[in-house]
Amino acid sequence: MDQGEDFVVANNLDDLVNKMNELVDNSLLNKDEIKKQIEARDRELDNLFTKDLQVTALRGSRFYRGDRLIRTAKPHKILDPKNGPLIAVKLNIISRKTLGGLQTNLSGQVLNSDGCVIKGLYAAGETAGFGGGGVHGYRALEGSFLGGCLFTGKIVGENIRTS
Amino acid sequence: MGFDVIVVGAGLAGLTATAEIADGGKKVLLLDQEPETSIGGQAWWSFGGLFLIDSPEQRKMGIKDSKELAYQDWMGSAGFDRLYDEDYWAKQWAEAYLDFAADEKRDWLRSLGIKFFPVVGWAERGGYLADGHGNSVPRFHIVWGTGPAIVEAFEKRIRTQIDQGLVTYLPRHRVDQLLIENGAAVGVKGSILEPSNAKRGEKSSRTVIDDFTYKSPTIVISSGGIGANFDLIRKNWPERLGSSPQNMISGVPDHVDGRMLEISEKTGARIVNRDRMWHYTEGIKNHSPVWTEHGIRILPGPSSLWFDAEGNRFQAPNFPGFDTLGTLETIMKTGYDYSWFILTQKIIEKEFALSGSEQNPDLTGKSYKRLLERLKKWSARSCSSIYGSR
Repeated sequence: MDQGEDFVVANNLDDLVNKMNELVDNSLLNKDEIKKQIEARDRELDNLFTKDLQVTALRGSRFYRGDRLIRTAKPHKILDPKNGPLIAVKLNIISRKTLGGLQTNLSGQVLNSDGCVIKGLYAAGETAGFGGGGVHGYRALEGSFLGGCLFTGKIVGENIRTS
Repeated sequence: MGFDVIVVGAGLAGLTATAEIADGGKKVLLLDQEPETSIGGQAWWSFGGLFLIDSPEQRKMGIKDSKELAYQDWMGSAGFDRLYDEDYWAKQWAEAYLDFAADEKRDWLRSLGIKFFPVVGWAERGGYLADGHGNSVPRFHIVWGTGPAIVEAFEKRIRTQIDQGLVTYLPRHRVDQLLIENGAAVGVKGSILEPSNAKRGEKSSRTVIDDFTYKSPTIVISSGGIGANFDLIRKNWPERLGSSPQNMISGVPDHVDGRMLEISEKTGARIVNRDRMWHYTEGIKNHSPVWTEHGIRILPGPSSLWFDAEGNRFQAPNFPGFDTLGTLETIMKTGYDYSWFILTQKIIEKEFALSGSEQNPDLTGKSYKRLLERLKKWSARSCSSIYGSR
């Protein structure tokens, strides 16, 4: 069993890129090109101005105590060996949620294609797109999926309880 | 035996609805196709993050939030553009939800015994303009005890209601048809599945041993989404996100099959916004899978460098944790269905959290001591033990 089959580790970038290519069984990655891009990014750590927005974002997030504590590493050069071995992670698309669903009114009653209530039929949770058939629209802010199950479940429950 | 209400699906929404209905003395029949071990559904596996607005936890961390700011962020992310049709109720639900998250939500959950981890997380940071996609401030409140603690709070209520004779819970009862007469719900028909020893989240058999019909004038559908149904995901995949991925891993158990959506549609219910979906781009394969193609999502901090399959660093704002769907679109338009992080040991030690209750035993087990040990050890641990551990 390979515990971390999507991870590769190496002490230098050349080895890392070789291992990355091996992992996906192709030769799409070019060491020199990757090196050039990381060196350019690393150089920005000595530049108080910087136009690399990720470096700006790192500096910004260090203003937040929570990030400094457990979320954002002190900005450092990726290719400086004193920052430990290099790691690459192959990232896959991972399925999760539908944001659409059964269209419901504010009581959680399911509607038909004419927009009329189907009497006695309610929907809650992801089936109802977490409310109304798509409370998140195109994109979510996170923390709103569990919360959407709780909220729609509560609203539907209260409406049925008092009806 | 007569029931006032039938609830289809014993995930978090179904449990919440059931508990609230039975609180008023009505008799509820709770049905689910899975065995009892999977009560709580997908929610049990979650990291337990909840969106709250201007909470005491935020204030203690120096975060200034408000309903107005949250409204701006939600609408900037949602981009509702079907207001006179598919988004008509959705937008109103969004407004109601923002009120809930700013006012009642935290107190209600605390009254059920739910507590929050003091460090509020900053998810979906955006990276566009002030009124575009993303959270202007950290709002991701992690439940102390993660997903299982939320499920437990509601399961406990339901167990009591079962003892009181208010709730009848029948696992292995799969609904196949909604019964509608003269435009009104009258009951459900379905199949009784053979008993199963499947542990929580594992695939259970679909062998039918009997059928059932239950009558009731009120039915709640709370059967979850389509996350484990790759065919349906590909079928509904919108062009704007590029081509659909050939290879995917699954963030949810097999039972998240979307069956009831189709069944509901057949009886006249309207499905809207089916082209809108939420999939993550930072999936790694679980080395001890519970369900089919079991993947885990890395909840990455912002420092890792992100490259496409050909080794080109992504443009701003495709940084880790900024814009999930924007990055999904960017990846899919490369023509490949995977991408790369390159990072250092220092980054992995500080920034890699794995989503999911089972990946975070200290938070899930409500152990401050273990959590502190983990935080301390992060600096001492070798990276192999981090990605090799659960």
